[in-house]
Amino acid sequence: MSSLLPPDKDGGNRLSVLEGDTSSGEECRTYVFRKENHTLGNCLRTMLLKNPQVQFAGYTIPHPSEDVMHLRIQTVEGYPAQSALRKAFVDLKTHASQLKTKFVTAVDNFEKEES
Amino acid sequence: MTEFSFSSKNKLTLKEFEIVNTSNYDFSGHFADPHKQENELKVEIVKIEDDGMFLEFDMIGYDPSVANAVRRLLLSDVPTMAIEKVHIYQNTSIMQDEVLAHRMGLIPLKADPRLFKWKEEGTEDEGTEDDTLQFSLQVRCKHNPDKSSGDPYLDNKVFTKHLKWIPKGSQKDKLINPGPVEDDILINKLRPGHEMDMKLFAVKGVGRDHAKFSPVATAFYRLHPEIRINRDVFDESAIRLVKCFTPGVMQLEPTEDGRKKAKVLDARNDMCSRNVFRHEDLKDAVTLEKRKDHFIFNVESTGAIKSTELVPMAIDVLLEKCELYINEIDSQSKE
Repeated sequence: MSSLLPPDKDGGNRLSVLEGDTSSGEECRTYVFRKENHTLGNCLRTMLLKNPQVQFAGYTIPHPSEDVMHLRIQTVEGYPAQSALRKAFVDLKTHASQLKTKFVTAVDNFEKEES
Repeated sequence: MTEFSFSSKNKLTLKEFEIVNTSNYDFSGHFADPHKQENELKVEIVKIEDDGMFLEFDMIGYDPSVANAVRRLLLSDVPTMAIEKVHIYQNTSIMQDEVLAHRMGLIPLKADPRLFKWKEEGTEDEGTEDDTLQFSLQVRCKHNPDKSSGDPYLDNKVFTKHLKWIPKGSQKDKLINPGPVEDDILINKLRPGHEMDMKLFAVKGVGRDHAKFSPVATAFYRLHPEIRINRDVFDESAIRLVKCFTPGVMQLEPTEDGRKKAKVLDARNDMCSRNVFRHEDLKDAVTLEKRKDHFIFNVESTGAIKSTELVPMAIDVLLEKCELYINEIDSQSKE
């Protein structure tokens, strides 16, 4: 069974940091995502805002013709933005897994009740 | 008697000329519920019809970004099989080659995309047994020699049932009938002398690339409506009030003194037409609201995969994306 995600023809990293933005320290970063849109952006932003050590989190799609998404994270002193991003992904993964389990259980219960 | 509504923050109100309280209050530092308790988040199945192809379910307590992500993933990121390359050897019909090829691409196929690999760019159209499905369409229209039957032509309408699957390699052992979902989709109309002879190659793709690869007829959600009666309405006004809403939402119930009072039966099916605002005397009698964290999803599959399997697949795509980016972050931080 192959992966659900289509292969990336262009190669290279899908995640990079916006040039020239690293001068203000580890706590401010703008991440550039290739081939991503509101589906991932809005979810990540929600997860980031639930983290009390994140002071600012926002995402934007600079131009609809380009498949690029920018995610800006600003955190408190001493907490690197990259840790916040990684935590947001981990939280999103947990949240989505729980949702999937709840859904599958609900379908099983529904089908049992039907028969 | 005043009524306190503690849950007012998670409802948006539909007024006559505006909708209020729509924003989500998500900015940093606002911690009404940093991480909702797991038992407050619920998923309930309401209806499964049509052999699993139609599904209605509720997501309660979730953030709109997650509900929207599920909807967007269902539409554009869950893979399906669809015809991509068409080799036309003969087409003397009236329909142009390119229009015909476009139509072939839109035909929904029953093949399960999870059994196939992604086809690499630049490889030849014929493909391998792991990544391509081949079909053939050969139809020729003739005069009907049987003059007595009503139909003067034979094979003048080309349907999807004329598509023949050409199994490659060991596909005949692994796949059972990966043809079109419906047999009676009209592809083309011919007259005597017209002929169509084509080879069709189907591959795996996602809706982002082309809408023909979308596995859902559509997937959408709406918020659960709520109707609150502010003051009792009787008799003739009550009949008018009940008529303002979708049938089945409001009902007349008899009171002790023989009058009829309007009562909310089940606000779920209301289509939020806000018709009540057309009646000056009934405008203030009800408050129309929607619950911001209760999403009523409708998922209708095109036929390849059941809707009850599509939703977990959509969430799997999200999980794979998270995995991909976590790995990239980890490998980048090692450098």
